[in-house]
Amino acid sequence: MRPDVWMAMDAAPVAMWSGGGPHDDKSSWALRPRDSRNAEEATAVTPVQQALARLQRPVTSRNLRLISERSVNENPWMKRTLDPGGAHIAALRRLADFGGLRVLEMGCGEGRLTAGIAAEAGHVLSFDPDAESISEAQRSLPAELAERVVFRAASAQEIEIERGAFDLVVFSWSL
Amino acid sequence: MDVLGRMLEALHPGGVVLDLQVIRPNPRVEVDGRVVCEIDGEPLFRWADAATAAVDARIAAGDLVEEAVDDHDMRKHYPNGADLVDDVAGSKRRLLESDVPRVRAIEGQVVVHERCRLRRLRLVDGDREASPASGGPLDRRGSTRAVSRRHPSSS
Repeated sequence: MRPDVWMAMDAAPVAMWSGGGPHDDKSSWALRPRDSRNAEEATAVTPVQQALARLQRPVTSRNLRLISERSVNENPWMKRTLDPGGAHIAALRRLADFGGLRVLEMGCGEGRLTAGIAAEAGHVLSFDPDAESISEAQRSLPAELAERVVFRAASAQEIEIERGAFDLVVFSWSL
Repeated sequence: MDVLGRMLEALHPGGVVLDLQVIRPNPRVEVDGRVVCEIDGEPLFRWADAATAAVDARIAAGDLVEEAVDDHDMRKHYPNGADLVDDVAGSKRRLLESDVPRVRAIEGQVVVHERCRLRRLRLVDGDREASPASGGPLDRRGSTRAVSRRHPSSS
């Protein structure tokens, strides 16, 4: 959606949850003036309801759907998210300069750290025994980093690695 | 199989190992900045202890040199308490039985704070000792010293 459309929506009344909880018969969605949003935000009872209150969107079925999808995508607190603040990649960068290095990442999982490493490294071989996680890691890797990263679905026992071929090995909760 | 040994074989002499592990104390469950309870992390800590012991054994054997340690907090976000309970149930962590009902009843966002330790180690080059320019002697806790861009022996 175009930014000006979102701005126009910002001028509209706010979707607010009214009531004590999801099983409260008196609970309902309602349009409220935006100056009441802080108090109403406090009464929002689920993450989706809280997001709708924060995003201040008018109540239409289409907007509710768009808002919900957009909120879940843009707000990590609406879904299970490991390390949304990037504490681990920040720690890795405090202790190592990956610039141009050949990196072996053992137990990469869904590639949570891979993109951050590959952004600086020369080449990254990331592997994990979970094939589904590797597929997700491949999907989530930014296209501009694809040439630097090779993913393998393999265990540490199985993977073929050339002796002495790497400058740096990363174990992320995987040793 | 010695997984650590196999991974070290992939490194050239003088190469770097970054080992990230969870450490004590127990993870904290928080809602809006208030601590709700702790998660018993002992089963996972025992796993991490074994990994740390394997690394320490390599240090004692003179294969690795520990150059830096960085302790930091990591957060995990859950959309609600029920999701946290489900996640913990399938992991090497435990919630106290008495905490499960009230955690499950949390309908808003839940954050788990976990303490982690990252260690930087260097594979000892048999022909020379660890280079002072690339870490040198041990610098403990929260070091920001960076490893050189590329070890001379890798070029």
